[in-house]
Amino acid sequence: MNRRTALLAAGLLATRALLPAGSAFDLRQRIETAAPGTIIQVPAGTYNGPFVLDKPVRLRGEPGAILRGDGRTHVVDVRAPGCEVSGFTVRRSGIDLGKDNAGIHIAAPDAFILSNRIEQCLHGIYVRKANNCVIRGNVIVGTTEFVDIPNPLTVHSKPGREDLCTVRVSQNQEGNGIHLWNSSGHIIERNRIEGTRDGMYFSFTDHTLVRGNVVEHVRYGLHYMYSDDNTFEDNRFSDNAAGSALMFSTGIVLRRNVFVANRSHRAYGILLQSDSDTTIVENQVEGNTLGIYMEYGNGNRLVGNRIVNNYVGLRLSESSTDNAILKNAFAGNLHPVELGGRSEDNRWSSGGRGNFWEDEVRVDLNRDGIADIPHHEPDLFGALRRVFPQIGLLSASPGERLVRFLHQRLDLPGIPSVTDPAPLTRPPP
Amino acid sequence: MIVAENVSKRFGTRSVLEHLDLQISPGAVTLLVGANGAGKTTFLRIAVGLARPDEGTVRIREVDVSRNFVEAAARFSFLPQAPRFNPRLTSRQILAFYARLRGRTLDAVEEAEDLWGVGDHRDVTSARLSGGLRQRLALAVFSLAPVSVLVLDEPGLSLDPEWRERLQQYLSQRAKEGATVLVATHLLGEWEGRVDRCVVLERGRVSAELSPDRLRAEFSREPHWASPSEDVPSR
Amino acid sequence: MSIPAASTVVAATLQREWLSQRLNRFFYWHVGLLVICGLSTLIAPPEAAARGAAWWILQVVLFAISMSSLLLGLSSSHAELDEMSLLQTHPVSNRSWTTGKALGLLLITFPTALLLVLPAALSQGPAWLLVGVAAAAGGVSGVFSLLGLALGAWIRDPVRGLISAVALWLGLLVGTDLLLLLTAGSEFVQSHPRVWVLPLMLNPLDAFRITVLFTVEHAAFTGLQAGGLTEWWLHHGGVWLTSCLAAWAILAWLIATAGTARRPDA
Repeated sequence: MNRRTALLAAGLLATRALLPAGSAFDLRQRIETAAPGTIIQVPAGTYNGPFVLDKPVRLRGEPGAILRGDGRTHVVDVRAPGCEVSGFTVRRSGIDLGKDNAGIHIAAPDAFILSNRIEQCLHGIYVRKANNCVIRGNVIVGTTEFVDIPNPLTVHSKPGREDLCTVRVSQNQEGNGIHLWNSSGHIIERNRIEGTRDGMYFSFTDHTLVRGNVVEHVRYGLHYMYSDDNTFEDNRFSDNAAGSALMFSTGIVLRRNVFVANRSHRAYGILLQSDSDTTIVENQVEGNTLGIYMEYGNGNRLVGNRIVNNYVGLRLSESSTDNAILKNAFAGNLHPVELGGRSEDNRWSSGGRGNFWEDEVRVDLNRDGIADIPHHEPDLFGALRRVFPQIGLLSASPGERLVRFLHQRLDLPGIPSVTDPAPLTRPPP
Repeated sequence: MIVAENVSKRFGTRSVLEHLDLQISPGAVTLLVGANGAGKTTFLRIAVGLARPDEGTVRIREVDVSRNFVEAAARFSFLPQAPRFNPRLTSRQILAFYARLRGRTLDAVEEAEDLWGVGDHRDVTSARLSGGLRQRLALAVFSLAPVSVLVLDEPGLSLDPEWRERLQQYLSQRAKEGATVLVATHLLGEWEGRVDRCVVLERGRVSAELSPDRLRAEFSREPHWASPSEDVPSR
Repeated sequence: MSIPAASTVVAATLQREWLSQRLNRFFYWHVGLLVICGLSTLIAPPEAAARGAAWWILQVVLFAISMSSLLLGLSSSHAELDEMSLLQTHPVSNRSWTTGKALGLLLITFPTALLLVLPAALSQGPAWLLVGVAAAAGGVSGVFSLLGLALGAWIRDPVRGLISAVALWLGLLVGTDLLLLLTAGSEFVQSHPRVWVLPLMLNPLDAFRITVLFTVEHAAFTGLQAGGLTEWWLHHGGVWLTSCLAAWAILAWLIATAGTARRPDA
């Protein structure tokens, strides 16, 4: 951070290239001739690129300034550390996925990408082996036609672990909003991404803060793997075809994010696969096909989340152990908990506080906010889902509800379920 | 004309009507009398299509009631014993409904209301009508039908003497106009001198015919008949 | 002598049904329930509100409107019982009479179902989705009112009628589900899934639930891979629901007609 602050200070002291109004302005030439640290104030107008920033210059677009690529490569190619691109509309990158064509391609550290609108590009912003970038306040639009959430009745793909990337998108949507590869230490803040393939793609990217972004109408809102110790705060991932997937990573913090209305055939609010030591705190996971799906998850903490109105609230595979699931509110889910097997190795309460369950028996004689009897949450369909998928037709049926009601009070034998020994009588604030 | 031929009806092992032959002619008021259980109501119910005979036929103006009920029903009007109505409808709504079924106009409804004195209660629901008013409402419905065969089951039970008198006059008048009128009752004393013929039913068969002018005297010789004071419906 | 045309009988009976319902407490309970349930879409807890009016209406129809419609039909039938001995001596066919009663009930139950979605439509703006859900709710309500009519035509004692109505409602509400839940594990059922799915399809409450859940609400369903009948059903939820409700309405009408034709001594 110190290095970043120093760069900002240097920027303030840098030479400001002021231009006479109305004169012809050759941006490429200005970039070529600019001294390192120059701020180039770009007036309104369309400027044909591509633009290569091979020295630390600061491009600041005035309202109406448009950077237009040649449709063959990146529109802006940042190759020098400490560059800034802000205030532009960036259009027309190449569409070669093999060359990672992007609206703004960053291959040098300490870049500032601020308040741009990026459209008609393959990837919006692509960060490749470059650390400590600030990507803030950008709008990235993949296409004017948003990815339509597939009707679950018309999707025929077979679900399974291999289907994580099977939600198809059209050719001009193959790029991601913000693509980060092999880097670390970024701040990604208050960006808005819609209509791309994946909203944010993390691969081998660590120690990054992702805060206050909105990602809608894409395939995966967050597609994330082999990236450790990143923090996601106050982001919103909604109406995405496949939700958000975090895989093969450790030390992730998800705090106060909203994962909502991811409703396609195999959409997840949050998919955690082979993740460990993840902290998922105070998120809102609402209206998804699968609210939270944890597979091969160990030592993760789910605390204070609102898991509501999902088809399945929380699916825990048998391989997930030693996870703590505490102080969450489960309400309005068709199936609050689905179990892949036995689930005794996970903790459903700590310090005498469990979770809030909408249908629990709320007997609390001493009024301490903890129900006096344990809550049994059944997975009524259990293994039948796999051998007899038609059983799903009984979801939310009055008969299924009746058996659930009885089990919660009587702990009927033979029905797989989780037991919360200290259920909360009120949803956590 | 009502013609019953060989009509039999059993309820379980109990035989109510046994090979009954009966002919009710037009232009007269015919009284059908008998003790409780003699088969009066059962015969009437068969005659108006509310029950089917096990054997035999009843024809009303040449139409077999069992085989062609709707056509037969267009030829007669029936007043059931102790009639009741949909309790949520007013007497006017009830009359208007039946008038529509009988192809009658609102004038006919008002005429029937005046005839039977129910006009003042036209907006009262049937649930709030007294037994007598309900009976008069049923008579209003009964008289709406433009037919010449009239069948009544214990029509005088809930009526006070004045309205009973008016009913008898009405039936006599209709008979004079050529209608076939059949009245089943066990209050035969009330009808003395008011009918043209009296048929006695006993154990499901016609056992005798009484003189219409000496019904009280004839009645007193038949100790097994019900007392006139026992105004209990046979059903 | 005149035999009224069937249309005259139907129209007269329909009008009579409306007049009769105006003083029927079950009718006011039914309408009151619709209004309260409709309004409750606005003041429901956030979870329910977020789930949307469709989800809320599904619950309301399953657990309340179906029952009140059934009782509405039953009360309609029983209100006429005392008068049947008079009515059945008129030149009226049972078919026309029952048709008039049935149409009267449908014209009451179907449009009033709009009350369920009116508050939501007024607050959120009109939506075809809500119109569709209201139509389906109206259909279910109509079918249950006709079932009540049929039940009342056969079971004429008010207490036995009420008990039978509750039994029928429970059977359709949870009976089918419980039976299928119990049998889902059997090898025979798993090798003949149609046998298992068909009762669910034929149950009007289940057909309504599936349509709202899996078509309107777009809830995902692992049974998509079930293939065959299930897949066809889920692809044609609306068509099937319409057909299913129409079939139930006709069946109820036939049963009601047969029950009306049944003489007391039959």
